Amino acid sequence: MRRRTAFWLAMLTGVLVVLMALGFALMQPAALPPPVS
Amino acid sequence: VTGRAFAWIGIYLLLVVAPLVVLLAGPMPPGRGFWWDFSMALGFAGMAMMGIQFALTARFKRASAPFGVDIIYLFHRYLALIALALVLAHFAILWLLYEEALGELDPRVARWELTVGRLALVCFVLTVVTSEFRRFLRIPYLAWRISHVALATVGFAAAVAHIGGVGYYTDAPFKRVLWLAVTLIWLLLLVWLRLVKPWDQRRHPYRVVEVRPERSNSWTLALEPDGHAGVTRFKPGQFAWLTLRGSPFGLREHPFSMASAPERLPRIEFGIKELGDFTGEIGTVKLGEVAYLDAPYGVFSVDTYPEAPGFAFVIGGIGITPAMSMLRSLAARGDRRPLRLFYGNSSWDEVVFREEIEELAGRLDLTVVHILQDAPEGWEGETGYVDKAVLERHLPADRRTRLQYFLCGPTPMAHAAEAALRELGVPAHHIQNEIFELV
Repeated sequence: MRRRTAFWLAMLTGVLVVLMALGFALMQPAALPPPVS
Repeated sequence: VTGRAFAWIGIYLLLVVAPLVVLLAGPMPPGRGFWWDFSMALGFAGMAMMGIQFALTARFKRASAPFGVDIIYLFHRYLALIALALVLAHFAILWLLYEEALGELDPRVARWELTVGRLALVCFVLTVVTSEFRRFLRIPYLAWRISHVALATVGFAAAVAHIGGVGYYTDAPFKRVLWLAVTLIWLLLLVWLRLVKPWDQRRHPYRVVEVRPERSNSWTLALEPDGHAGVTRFKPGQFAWLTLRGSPFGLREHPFSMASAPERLPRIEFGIKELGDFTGEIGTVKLGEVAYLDAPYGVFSVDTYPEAPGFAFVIGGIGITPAMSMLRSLAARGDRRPLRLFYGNSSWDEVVFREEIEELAGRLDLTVVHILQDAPEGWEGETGYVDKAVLERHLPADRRTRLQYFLCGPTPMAHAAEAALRELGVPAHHIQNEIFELV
């Protein structure tokens, strides 16, 4: 029971941060070319 | 307790998303295309989760109490896999789509902030691989712990330097201040965990007052505080991190369930079976030797469920120790609730605490069911493993679903017993599983 809760909370965290990362990438204004090292 | 648990989960989620919110807040520098920006955000997300990892294993009593620290360690493991996946995705996107941005691999000519980024990545991969495959790679526990702390610390520090060095998304002054604050909090956490806490343990030593041989290559190790009050209370069934023959700074501690009842405090007893390098030496411990404790932890206790109409313990081998603590404590309190003990062992001679359990059965409303794999001649009790049929035979049909169950033993046994109880209609929240095989 607790094991399952821990697993799903970890998954939820992962999904949450990936969604936020997606949001961030989609919200970015006009694109500059990526830098070159 | 549930309200408090939800509050801590809320705080945890806020901490995880905070760096991303900071990233999104205020004026943003121009984007560089979807995949580039997505990769950057994944890097920040992975980093935020890595930072939380240090707090999760810091054993904050207040934060871990509603869940049990064992499950928090398991959570730490799950999160590590996700955080590593995010950080690897961050790198993989750049490597596949923007390889020229990564520049040279050779650290002598590469940009330093990209080299530390790669260092962080290697550290994180090694941290996870050595933990997930510790047994397979045959890494001794102590070597694993020291390398785990070192790799995680170096990896995180390198990642902070990487973000600061690249600086593209953290250039706004307020973002710099916030990142600095996050880093500072992490450093304080490290100092507290690795210096302040061990120092406090060293000021509160314990002495070994008894080392008693038990059946099945097991020992009872009894400790008493030396010059201080010691642990003032614990719930029977909880566990402690024990350091023997080493400094509390040395990461030589091991988790063990307390086997004695809290009614016997300040004396604390552990039941320890000779299984590895550390436990193999227990028999050579001398009276008067110094020990250090970090305790108590865990929710595996009858006291977590004061309203339960009765309890059943499903135990394999040395998993008996937390159950002994609970049985001894219930006996000391004169508790008359019905109790069942299913106790699986390889043979009759291996049944640790056998005589005392018989004696406790006389003082409690306790029915003991021994299950032996290798039964002696003339044995009329149960044989084989703790399975559904055994449980069904000995659990009262009318009360079966209302009892609170405690499972402790080898992981396959505990899993099988849990599945069997679920098939018998026992609700999941009535089954407590002690998870002690953490790495």
